[in-house]
Amino acid sequence: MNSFKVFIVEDDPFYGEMLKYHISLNPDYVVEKFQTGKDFLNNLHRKPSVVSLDYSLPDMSGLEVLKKITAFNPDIPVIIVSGQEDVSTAVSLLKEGAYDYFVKNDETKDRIWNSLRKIREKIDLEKEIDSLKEEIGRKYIYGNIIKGNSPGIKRIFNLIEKAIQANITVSITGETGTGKDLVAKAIHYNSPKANLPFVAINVSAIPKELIESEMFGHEKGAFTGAVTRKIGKFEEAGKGTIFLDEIGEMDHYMQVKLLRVLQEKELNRVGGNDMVKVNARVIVATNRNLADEVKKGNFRQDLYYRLLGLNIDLPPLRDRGNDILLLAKYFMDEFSKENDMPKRSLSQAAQEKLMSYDFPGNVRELKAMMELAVVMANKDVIEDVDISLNAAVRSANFLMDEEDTLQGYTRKIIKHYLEKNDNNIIEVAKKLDIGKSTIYRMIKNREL
Amino acid sequence: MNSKDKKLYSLDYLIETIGNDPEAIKVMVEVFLEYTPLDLAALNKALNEKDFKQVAAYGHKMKSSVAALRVDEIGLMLKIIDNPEKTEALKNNLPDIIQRINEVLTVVFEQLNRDFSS
Repeated sequence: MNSFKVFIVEDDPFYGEMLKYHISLNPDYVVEKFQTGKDFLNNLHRKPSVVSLDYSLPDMSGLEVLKKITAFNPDIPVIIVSGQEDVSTAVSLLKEGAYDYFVKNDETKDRIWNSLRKIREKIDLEKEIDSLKEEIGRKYIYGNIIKGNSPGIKRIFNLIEKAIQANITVSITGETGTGKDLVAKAIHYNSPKANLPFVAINVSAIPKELIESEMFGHEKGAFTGAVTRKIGKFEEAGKGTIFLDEIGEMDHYMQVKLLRVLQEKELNRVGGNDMVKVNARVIVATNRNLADEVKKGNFRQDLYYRLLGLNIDLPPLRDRGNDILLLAKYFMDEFSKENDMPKRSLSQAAQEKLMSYDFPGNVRELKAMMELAVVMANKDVIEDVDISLNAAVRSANFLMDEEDTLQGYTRKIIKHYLEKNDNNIIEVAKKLDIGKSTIYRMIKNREL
Repeated sequence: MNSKDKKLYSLDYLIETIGNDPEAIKVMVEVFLEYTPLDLAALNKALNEKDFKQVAAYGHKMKSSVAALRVDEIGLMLKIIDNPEKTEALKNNLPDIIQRINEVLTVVFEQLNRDFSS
């Protein structure tokens, strides 16, 4: 942990020494004192955590020293400790960026003590925020959170990389549980906006009457209950990212409002007249097919095109082949680690059970399923009986959705096996006991 | 009781501020005895040269230390001469004021030297 360095700039040796002793009563503080402005400025590069500055110095005024500190680093808090009781001097120093101003009297010691404590708490809090931001950054390195080797997921990595590099609106689509929110966070926390706010709003979770105020804020008295001004999520996001989840659930009135904000790049708080600039990057997500919703008249076409931007369509888990086993193993290991449990492995039967399941709840369902399996297993190896499926297995239903010809069924079976086996034609031919040339021919004829 | 017998300073505020650490108190007294006579001499020089700006500068500089050692008899005097406008306005009274400051501080120096002689 870095020490908390307090530099005292005081021309009166007695008063300076007294302050030094007083502040040093806190063993966490490292205190140094300087009698002239010049001597102090020569040591400014050593980055004090805080400066206690006398206003009247023999070689320069406190104001001159304060300006030089601010020019060097405006984040260094400066407490002016002065014999000057002139209010205008205090005001001008505070305007120049002084953190606080104390007149030398009997209460000075207590005021300095409190002020240092507050500054220390603020610095500690800022450090904590920085470290949390770093942690979030590490957490959302997309390779760490979106696992998989399937061609489908590799394509997603490629799109995420493009979204990180360009400040473009991104629409994320995919079934429930495919990890749309994780992709949004991965884009933000790996982009140049990583240190700016990421503000998420779930459109479907907010009552219709509140959503406008929630998104755009409101002025005091805008409606019953608006007792103070409140800034909305767009303003909160600043120059960062706003993530509008479940955008497909937005009603027509809000669609119009949102479209105007996106076009004009400014907004009005509810009940307000002032225009507020909008600088946030927009990422939206939905599990609906927005193009279909446009056709049905449920979603405005102009808003659809404005929001579409770079589309990242997350594949359902059932189409990700061996990613199912890779993710299952990952979730088992993570859960075991978090709960101090021994690592488990999957029996062949358990693997087959997972591979033949549809996963209507996608990755979210797999995660819950594997955590339960770890808890239920009596041995280090998870058996198929330890895995509880929530829906019928795919092998029982994926072929029978609708009537088809024999050729159609054959095509479906081969396509299904190719998806499950990362398009490994040799492997699929072996498993289905057919010639690989059959598969090549079907691909060539665009039957697959 | 004359002024030489009456203690003209008090360590109460100093102890309250830096703690009851005899070593630290001794260091503080030494600092006071080392630097305050120099400031007093500079104050006297400024008065002789009628340099009211410097009178105010040294008055201002000394008042905090003097207040910290609770030399109350001259605390207010230093406070009223701590800016050039006031010293200019009080120029006829300055010799008396500064003489009294000299007298009191001389006694304080003697008392401190005596009390911290070991």
